[in-house]
Amino acid sequence: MIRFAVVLVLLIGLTALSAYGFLQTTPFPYAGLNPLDFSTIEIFREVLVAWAFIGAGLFAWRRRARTAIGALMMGVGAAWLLHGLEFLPTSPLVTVGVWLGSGAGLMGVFLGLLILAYPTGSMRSRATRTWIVLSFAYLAIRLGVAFVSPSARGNCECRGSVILKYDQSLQLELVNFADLWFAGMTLFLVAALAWRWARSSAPARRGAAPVWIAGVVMLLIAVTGESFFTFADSIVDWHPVIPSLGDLVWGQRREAFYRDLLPWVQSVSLLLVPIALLWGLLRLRLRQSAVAALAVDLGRVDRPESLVAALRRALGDPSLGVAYWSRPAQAYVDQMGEPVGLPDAAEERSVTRLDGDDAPLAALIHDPALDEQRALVDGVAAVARLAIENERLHAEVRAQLEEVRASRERIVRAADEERRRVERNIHDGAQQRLVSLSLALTMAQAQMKEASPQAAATIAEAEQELKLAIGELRELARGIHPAILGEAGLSPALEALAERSPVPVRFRCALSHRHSPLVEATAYFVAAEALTNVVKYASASSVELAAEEAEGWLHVTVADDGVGGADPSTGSGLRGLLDRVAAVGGRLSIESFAGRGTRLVAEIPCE
Amino acid sequence: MRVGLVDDSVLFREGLARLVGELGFEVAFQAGTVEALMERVAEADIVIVDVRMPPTHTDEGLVAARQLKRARPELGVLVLSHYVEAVQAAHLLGDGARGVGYLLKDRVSDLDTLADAIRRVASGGSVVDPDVVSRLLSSRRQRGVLDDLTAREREVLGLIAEGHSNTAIGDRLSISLKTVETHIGTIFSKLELFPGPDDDRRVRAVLAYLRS
Repeated sequence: MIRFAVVLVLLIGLTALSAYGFLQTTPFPYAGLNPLDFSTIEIFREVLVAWAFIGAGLFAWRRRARTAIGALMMGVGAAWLLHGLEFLPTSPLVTVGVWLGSGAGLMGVFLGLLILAYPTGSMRSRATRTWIVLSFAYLAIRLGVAFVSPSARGNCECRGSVILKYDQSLQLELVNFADLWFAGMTLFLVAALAWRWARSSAPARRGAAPVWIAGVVMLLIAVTGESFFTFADSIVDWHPVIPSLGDLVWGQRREAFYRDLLPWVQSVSLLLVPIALLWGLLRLRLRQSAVAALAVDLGRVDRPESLVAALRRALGDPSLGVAYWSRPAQAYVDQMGEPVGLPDAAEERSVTRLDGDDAPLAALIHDPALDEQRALVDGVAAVARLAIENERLHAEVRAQLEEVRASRERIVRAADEERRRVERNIHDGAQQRLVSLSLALTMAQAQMKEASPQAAATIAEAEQELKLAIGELRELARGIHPAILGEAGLSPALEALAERSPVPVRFRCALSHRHSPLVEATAYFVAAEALTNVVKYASASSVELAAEEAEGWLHVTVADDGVGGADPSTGSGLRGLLDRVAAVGGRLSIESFAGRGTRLVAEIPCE
Repeated sequence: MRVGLVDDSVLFREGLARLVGELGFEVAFQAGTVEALMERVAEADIVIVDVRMPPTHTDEGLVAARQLKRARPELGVLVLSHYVEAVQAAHLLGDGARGVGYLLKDRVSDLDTLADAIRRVASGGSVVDPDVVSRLLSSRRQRGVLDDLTAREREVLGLIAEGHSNTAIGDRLSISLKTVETHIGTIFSKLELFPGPDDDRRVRAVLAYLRS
């Protein structure tokens, strides 16, 4: 904070000094130009340009995101102010102003550095190092200019400025040489940028837009600056015909252009640079609102796009991939479950890991350019982590539900199988024995008829009892599992059920083929239980039993015209039916209003 | 008359064989499987078959019975089952075959019923278990389908459905053949049924009517 204040005070001081310099009205022989006179609005313009850079730099600095970028921006602004020192009445600062403030000066050097370092702030690239070397050479040439130039204020009196020797032709040579040198540096810069652009990924290119604007401005300065005219002059000088023509064309207008228009072109185009850089920084902030949008997107249950697509959109990186951590495999896998290797440092991909509480969750594999937008990537990663964790939990719950459903189905299947087995045991065992016994009794009765009519009568009585027992056993076995269901199928079994009902049944069945034993048994027992309920509780005068198949679902309807008021929450019978139907993945609906009968519809998947 | 007995329970087969013998019929063979039945069926005029036979113990006996009726229409087939269902009765009789019976298994312990059934089936008549008929009748009555019939007419209708001849119906109800024929005429016109003259055809017609 103190550092910030110190820098701010220094910059304000420099601004004041520079403005004071600009205020000095003076005849000026500098580079053969007419006296330079700054109007208030021109001074305001100069300060505005400087502070646009300084402001943008402070903003970047305060954000602590790009200290180097912020410093460079402030450097550009401060260097721009050095221009004003040239015009100070007397001071060694004038030499500094001529050295670093005129021409492209330190401002051009810093601007180039800024362009090359944007957006990382790193100065370690080869292009940046080359630029720095070229810049030292440039500043050395400019130093030469400074030592042979007078103060803008003071003709050759050179009050207070450090002048080794005033030599106007040497000064012009040096100025021209410096300007050409800087024009060369600008060409190098543009070439370096073009080379970078060609090798950049889409997100990196998007991020580079401010730099390109700055680069174009640099070019403008270099081309519209003094060096352009130096270059034009040299051509004009060289060509025998052009001089007169050149004088004709340029003449006074060239000086007017130089004096009036050029500073405006330079200033306004320079103003674009901090605006572009600020826009770049602000866009990052806008991007961060993309995190919020992403959170909203991913929070929706019926989200229209995949997680990967949403992440790609949020980060603006179409090459982004997601690797999911597979606990069983203890490795990263893709969406299809294929193993994915995370790129190592040597590859030109960055990895952002999303870690769960106890184990890795997933990893985002993305363009390294996104590393510059750490806050954004971290925000997106946090949202993605939630979404993936959520999805994983969902999947776990779904798997558990499916396991429970499958387990219920197995239980029901086993119970059905057990019923069939018990019925068969009764049929093959007790029923068969009792019927055989009945035959034996008949035989005994026939044999005793003559010898002992009394014994025969007793046997006949016993046989009658036996027949009742056989009948009861038959009904018991039938209730456990009706033989006809397995033998002839659901439709005959339901028909048999309808025939036995004490309440008149309107039976309607449109089933063309057999279904699996599980489906048939479920449908049958639902109908049987429902009919039993009708007989027991409904006081109905008639009941409708219908079975039909539609689009892979078997619908069994039992509807009576009785008293209604059936409630699954009170009776275990209906509750059992709900469970039974749900166990095979079906649905059971019960409509029962007091006085308006009960309508039970079971829908059973049968494909 | 030669009777073939087919059941997978030896105990039952033996008991039935003694009753059949007691009734004066000749037991041509006993078989415990459908294969054995098919091998020896030529020796019998009538076979008594259980519905549930190996290997699956579902309806092998029934399937074999229908097969036999198609191959040898003159063969009498009496199908026994621990459960009797109208659907299966209709299936058995629905082939248009003569000489078919369908009875509850414990029904055969009644000597008169057994003898009557064997004779009727052997002579090309039809036998339907009274349980099947009474269930159909009562379920139709509930729905008011048979309201036009008098109690006696319903009784006659039931006996027709069980496969009894007019004479047998007369004997059972102790009424004259003429009265029986009058009843039958009234019943059929009330129900708007016009079956053929054969007993088995009218059994099928009545069963179909009752099941509809």
